[in-house]
Amino acid sequence: MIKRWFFSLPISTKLALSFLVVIFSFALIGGATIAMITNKNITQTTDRFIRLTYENNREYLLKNLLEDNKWALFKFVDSISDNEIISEALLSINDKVVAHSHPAQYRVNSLLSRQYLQQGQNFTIDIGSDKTAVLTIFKNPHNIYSQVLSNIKSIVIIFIFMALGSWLFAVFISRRILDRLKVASNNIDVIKKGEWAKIDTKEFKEKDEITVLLNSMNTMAQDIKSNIEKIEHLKDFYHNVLSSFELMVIVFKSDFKTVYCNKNTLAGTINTDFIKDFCIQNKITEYEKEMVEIKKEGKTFLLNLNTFKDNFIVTVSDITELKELEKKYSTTKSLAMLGEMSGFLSHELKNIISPLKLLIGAKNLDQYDIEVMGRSIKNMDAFINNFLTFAKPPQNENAQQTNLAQGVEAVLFLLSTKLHQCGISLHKQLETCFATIYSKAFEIIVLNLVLNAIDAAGKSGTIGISTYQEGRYVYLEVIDNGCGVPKEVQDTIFEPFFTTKTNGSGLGLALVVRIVDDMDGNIALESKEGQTRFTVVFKGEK
Amino acid sequence: MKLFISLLLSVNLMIAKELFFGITTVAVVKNSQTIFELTDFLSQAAKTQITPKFAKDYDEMKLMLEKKEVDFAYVCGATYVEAKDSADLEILTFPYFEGKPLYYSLVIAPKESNARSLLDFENTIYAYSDPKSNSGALVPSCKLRSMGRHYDSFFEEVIYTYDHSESIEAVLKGFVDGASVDSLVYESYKQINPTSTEKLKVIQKMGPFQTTPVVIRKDIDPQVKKRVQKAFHSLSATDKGRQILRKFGVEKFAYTNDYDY
Repeated sequence: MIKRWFFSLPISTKLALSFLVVIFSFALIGGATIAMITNKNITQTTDRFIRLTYENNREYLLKNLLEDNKWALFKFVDSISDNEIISEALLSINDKVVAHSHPAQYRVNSLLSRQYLQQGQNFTIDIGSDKTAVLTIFKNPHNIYSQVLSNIKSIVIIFIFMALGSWLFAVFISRRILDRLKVASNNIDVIKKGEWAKIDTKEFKEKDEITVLLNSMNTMAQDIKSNIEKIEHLKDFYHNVLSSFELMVIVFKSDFKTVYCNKNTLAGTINTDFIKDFCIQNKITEYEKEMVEIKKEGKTFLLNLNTFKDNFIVTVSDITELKELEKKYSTTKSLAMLGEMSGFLSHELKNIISPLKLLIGAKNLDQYDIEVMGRSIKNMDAFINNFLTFAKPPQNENAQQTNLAQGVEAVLFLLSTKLHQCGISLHKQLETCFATIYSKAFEIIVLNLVLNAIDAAGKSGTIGISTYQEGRYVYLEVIDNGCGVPKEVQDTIFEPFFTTKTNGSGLGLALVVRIVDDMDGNIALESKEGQTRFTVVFKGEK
Repeated sequence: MKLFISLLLSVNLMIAKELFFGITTVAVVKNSQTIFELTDFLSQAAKTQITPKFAKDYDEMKLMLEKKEVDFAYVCGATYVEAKDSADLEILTFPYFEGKPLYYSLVIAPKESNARSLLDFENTIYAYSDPKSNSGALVPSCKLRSMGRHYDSFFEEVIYTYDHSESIEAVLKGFVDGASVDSLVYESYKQINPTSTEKLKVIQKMGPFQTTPVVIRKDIDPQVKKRVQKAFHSLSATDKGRQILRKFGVEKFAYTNDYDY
């Protein structure tokens, strides 16, 4: 408790008490030493004084003893005991009091005990007639305690002055310290408020740790000011940069408090509150990354969300025009494709029916001719069926939550014999992941990609197939270690009727693209010598 | 002419001559400053240098008067009677106390003492001043004698202090249980040491007695005698003089024919 009380005291009081304790301790030790030395000197002086007193007054005492002048003798013993070194003095004859410095206690003619006389220093005076007078002197018992008591007033006065001096000194020192600490404290407040001009850079006479701290703080404040100015400048710069985009950039905290929003051209249609509500309602922030289209007031916007620490960084761009272009492009491409396909169809059909045309004019048809006619019809049938399959890919009535891994396993089962026959080394990494898609269509995708991989890998080749989920999206990857797809054909490989195989229909990958597109997915190709990877992406389910 | 000059010279010599004032220490409070104040005043008033000469007791003073070592002196009545013829003395003036040239012999004791008279001091240690002092020794001894007692056997011990003021001190210090002192000296002591005398009380007052006179040798020039007498009498006429008188416990000095020793 004493410790707690001491620590709660102001600095000046603590210092004063500390000084006082130190000074008092030293004074006590010094005083005791001096008192011991003084005591020794006093004892020696006292003995010398007593001896001299007797020797110098012996004749006077004898005269008055002989004259029986007790009053004169009393005045003598009274005078010598009236000092600090002698407490009592007496003259006695045959143990009877003649004169005593304490007459009330030891009356004239009263008897004294030998024991009492032996306590003092005795000096004999022979006065004749068998009488001996004895001068007995009792020394003042000097010890350190009595010395202290006798000087108690001086000690108290000196102590008071010392205490006052200590307190004044402590106040002075603590004031010097506190003044500087106050400056430091004020500077900290000023820095917190950003009032840089009010920083006190006063110089102090002291060059101690506190002044060093103060100077360091001032330097730090200047650095902070400089850094803050730089940050402000950068903030303005990046704000101007972000505001120059035709893009809305918003930064939300995890509680959707707006941290930043740039100046943007979308402000008329979309604002931060709308975006905030949209994200919350559609639970977009459940994933670290998300890309969503928003339709509002006849316009289409693309919302891109990224999570960074506790913040959501949202960009919103107006893709209405892009969508229009996409639509136009799609129409144009479709028309172009139609033209291409028409040309291809015509060409193929022409090739298929050319033997029939030759046989129309013949008068006698033999068995061989009938077989040729049959083959041509069969080829035409197969061709038309393939085309019909491409034209209208199979769909379930409703898209459903489909386990990709399960779908892949089903297709691999169907192809197990072919895989075995080709000596293909198959590596599977199938994680259970779900997407709301057409499950049969998905199997067609897998089938086509695996068949292509088998063709590309060749005998004893290696195929890898994996399904996994990353964030919002689920992935299907099919890899082969074939010779790869030449760069120059990588852009056209997905187009209908494009094929590098001799008997290929050229519709497999086109069908895959069609189905993926129908299910709002994406397909990508990466290919190099020795490795080709097809990656199909769908929006996943949790 | 020669006669005139010698007469003039003798007068001048008479005026300029130093006079010695004998003071018995037993009779006055031992305060040299007060004594010198008195002699300075008298010197100024008498226009003659007056120098004090001290004697320890009356016997010594009597001898000094007989040897003409002092010209006038303050003595006790007994001494005057003894030395009147041998020293050829006459009375110059008397100290007055409470309007009369009378004083008392006081029995004093510490304030806490239960004594109510001299007779209560039997078997105690008692202080006398000078063995020939009236108030300090003779009066109490006579008193005891009148009761059929001798002082030697009455008291346990008689201590002679040879000084009234020392007798007072002896009581104050507790060395003696009581003392007989001169009332004038006691009053004087009270004036100088008021706080000390608060510790004392007067047990008994015996007297009155004719105050101790200031005596002068008859062979001193009458003019000088007159001037000295006038100087004594002028003490009560001035503030300074009255201050000095207070310190001696005396109201004034004046001459009276009505005395009896």
